[in-house]
Formats: sequence, structure tokens, C-alpha cells
Amino acid sequence: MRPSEIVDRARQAFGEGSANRAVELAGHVIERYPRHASARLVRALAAEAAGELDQALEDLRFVTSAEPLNAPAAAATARIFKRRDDGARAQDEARRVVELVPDVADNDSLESALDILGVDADALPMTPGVFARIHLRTGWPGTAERYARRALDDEPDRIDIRLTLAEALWQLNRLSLCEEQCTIIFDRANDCVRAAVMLAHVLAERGRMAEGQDLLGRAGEIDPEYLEARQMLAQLEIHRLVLPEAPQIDVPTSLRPADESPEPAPTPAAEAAPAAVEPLPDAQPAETEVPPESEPDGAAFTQIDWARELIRREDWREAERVLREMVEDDELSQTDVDALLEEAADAPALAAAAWRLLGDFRMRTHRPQAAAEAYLRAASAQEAADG
Amino acid sequence: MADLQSLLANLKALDEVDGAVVWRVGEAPVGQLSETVSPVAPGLLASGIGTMEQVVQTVGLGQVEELWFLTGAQQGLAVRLGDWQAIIVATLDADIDRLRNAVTEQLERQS
Repeated sequence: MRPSEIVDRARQAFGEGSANRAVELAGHVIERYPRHASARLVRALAAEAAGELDQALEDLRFVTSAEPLNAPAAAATARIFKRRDDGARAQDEARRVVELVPDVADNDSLESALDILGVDADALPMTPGVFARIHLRTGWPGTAERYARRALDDEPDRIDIRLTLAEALWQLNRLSLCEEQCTIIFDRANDCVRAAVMLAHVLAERGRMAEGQDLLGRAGEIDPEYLEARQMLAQLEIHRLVLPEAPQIDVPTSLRPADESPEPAPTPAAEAAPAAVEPLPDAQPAETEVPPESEPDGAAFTQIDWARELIRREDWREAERVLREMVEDDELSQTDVDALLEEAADAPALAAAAWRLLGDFRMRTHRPQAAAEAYLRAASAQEAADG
Repeated sequence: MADLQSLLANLKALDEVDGAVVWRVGEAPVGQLSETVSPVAPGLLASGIGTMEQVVQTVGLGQVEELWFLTGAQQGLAVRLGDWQAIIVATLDADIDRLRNAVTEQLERQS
């Protein structure tokens, strides 16, 4: 079962008043993924209900750092501050919940916030922060950027607004400015998943694929199914990041409903093959394929792996671009680059370019005789391609 | 890369020069040659000259500083100055001594 399905069950159990079962289910996910934000939120809500406010706040601090736009976490934080008679901080958090409109899908969070603020929905002020969120959600990132900057002039410490600004810049493809904002966000909320996804994309666009994948992998500790990443990257026409396959967790019989039969034991064939998963929401088929089987969970996914993946996908143009970057990268092993380029030259559509790049690489590495051979092969491959 | 491209443009602009290739040790060559020759011609010329240099050095004759070749249609000159190398392809009636001085001057500016 996917972790998010288990968390959904935990949330459902909590809603039905089975707090213990909710904590058990969330705990099962947290045991495997200690930084799973959604599971930590369920555990926090259960702790809040049980009056264990310190424990709840600890989880909530982590959740709001990972997901600054998480309205239920902000609402729970506001309620806890109110219970502790810290009216000023309660109101600050409540205002933040209200500004997450229209992201607030659950009425409970909004009602909590309105109750703390002591106002009706009609009386809510429309602040620049609210306008920024609304414009971003409705496809006007340029306007969202202006409102977010105005909001930050008044409240520069608001991470949720800064994240809105970063997302607006990201959508506008102003990646350097987006990177600046993400860096500021990381200073205050170093677990922020959405900032990590944006920064990973920026790094990948600059050819620093391995660093981008590494950063994305860190976001995967918090959101192992990469639901946020899939949703964000699906908005782009193209991206270079590879999203790992959604993981599965066994659920012990004790945590299953009585009327549910246990999952069948996997057959040897099923164990060998990647687990079949349903398409995830907003998945982008072409760009979010799973990585090669040799790289489960995206671990240590290198630029060489990425080049091989592009060749496998027959994305010749992009493959040539990545190969050219590798030829100019002095950090890579000569043996690895030689082998990869020769491998690439086996593909007829890429042969001329791969041999030419191999010639360039051999010239760069002081092997003119070998370079001459590669250039001659490039000329032959080009002639063959031209017919 | 900007240095390579500007050097290439300067060499190509010399009178009687039809094409040029330049590179620096540890970098890939760039070149502008006639459209009728292969797109890999700059690489082939550079690697060919590089191979000849290695041969000459291996047999103990020292470091090549210049190589000149003549074909039925053109003449070519390869010049090395420090880490910089250039090849020019010129017309048969080109004054190769003048071109040698001009190429050397351009390479000195880069060094």
C-alpha cells in the first residue's frame, strides 16, 4: 500500500473518532519515513486532541517547515496557541490560514481561523498576500509576483508569502530570481518541499543534474511519493528531473480493517519487477517516467545515468545536449565518458554527433590520434545519415 | 570560448584566408572552413596536426612550431604558440610568409 493511502486511512480514522488507530497507522508510516509530513500532521492532530500540546507543536513545527502552505497545520498551531492563552501568536497563525485561501479546501481549518480572529468570512480583509495566492492559482504569475512583493514589504518574515513569490517567479521561468527566494526560504524552513523541487529544477536546467536529483531525493524523505513534485513539475512544458516510483509499505494485519483481506504474497516475478502503481494525480507521462531499475528510489542518479536514460527514450536532441555538457566537464572520469560516447554512437540517429563529441573529448584529453579516428567515424556516420 | 571565437574571426578575416581552425591545449577545436568540406573538418585537421606533432616529438625531433602543406588547390599553415594553435587554409597564390606573421601576431595577443 502506498504511504499516502495509509495516511488517508489514518486521517479517516481520526475523523471517525478512532484517535488510537489513527496514531497507529500514522506511526506505521513514520517508522518507515520519519520525515513524512502528512503522517506527522495526523499524529499532531491526534496529540492536540489528547491535550499533548508539546508533542503536537513539535510535529506541527516540522510540518509547517516542510509545507508552509499547509492550512490544517497552521490552523492546529493557531488553536494550540489559543489554548495556551498566547492570543497574539494564535491570531498571526489564524491570519496565515485565512490567507491560504483559496488553498484551504477544508472548512474546519478556515472555521478555526475565523473563530480565533473573531470575524465572519465577509469581514476578512483582502490583503496583498491573499491577492498573490489567488492570482497565482488562477494563472497570473506576473500579477501574483507584484502582490507577493508588496506583501513581503510589510511582512518580510512570512515564509508562505515568499514561497508564493518563488512559485510565481518559477512559473515565469525567471529561475535566478526564483533561486534567490528559495535560498531565503531554506534559511528559515530548510525542509520546504516546494522550494526543494523548484531548486532541483533550477539546478537540473543548469546541467547540474546529479545535484538536482539529490535535492529532489531529500524532498522525497518528506513526500516519498513525490506528490507535490509531480504536481509542480506537471505545470512545466519540459523538465529534466526523474521522479522515482511510488514506494509501497506492507500494512500489518493488526492495522487492517476486519473486513479487508490481506494482500496476496508477492510472486517471485512480482518481486523482481517494479511494483505496478496506478498513475498519480497530475502525473506527466513523458517527463515523469520512473528511472532505470538499477536506480531504485533515484539513489545516486548521475549525469551518465541521465544521458543513458535519454538515449533509451530516444530523445536525441536532449541526449546530445547532455553529452556535450559531459564532454566539457573536467570532473568526469575519462573512461566513463569514452564508454558512454561509444555507447551513444551505437544509435544511428546519434552516431555522427556522438563520434564528433568523442573526437572533441579526446582532443581535450590530449589524445589527437584517437580523436582523428573518432572524427573520421563522425564523417562516415554523417555521410550514412545523409544517404 | 569567447577568446577562441574572436581569434577565429580575426584569422578568418585575414586577406587570402579561406578558412581557419583554432584551439587551445585541453580544449576542443573550433573552426570555419568552406561549406563544401565536412562539418567535422576542423576536428580532423586539428587532430591530424596534433598527431603529427606527437609523431615528431616521439622520434625525438622536438616540438613542432609550424607545419605547412600544399595541395593542388590550396595551401595550409599550422602554427603553435604556447598553448594556442591555429591552422589557416589559404589560396594557392597567398603570401604565406605574410600570413605566418599575421597568425603569429594573433596568437601572441592570446598568450
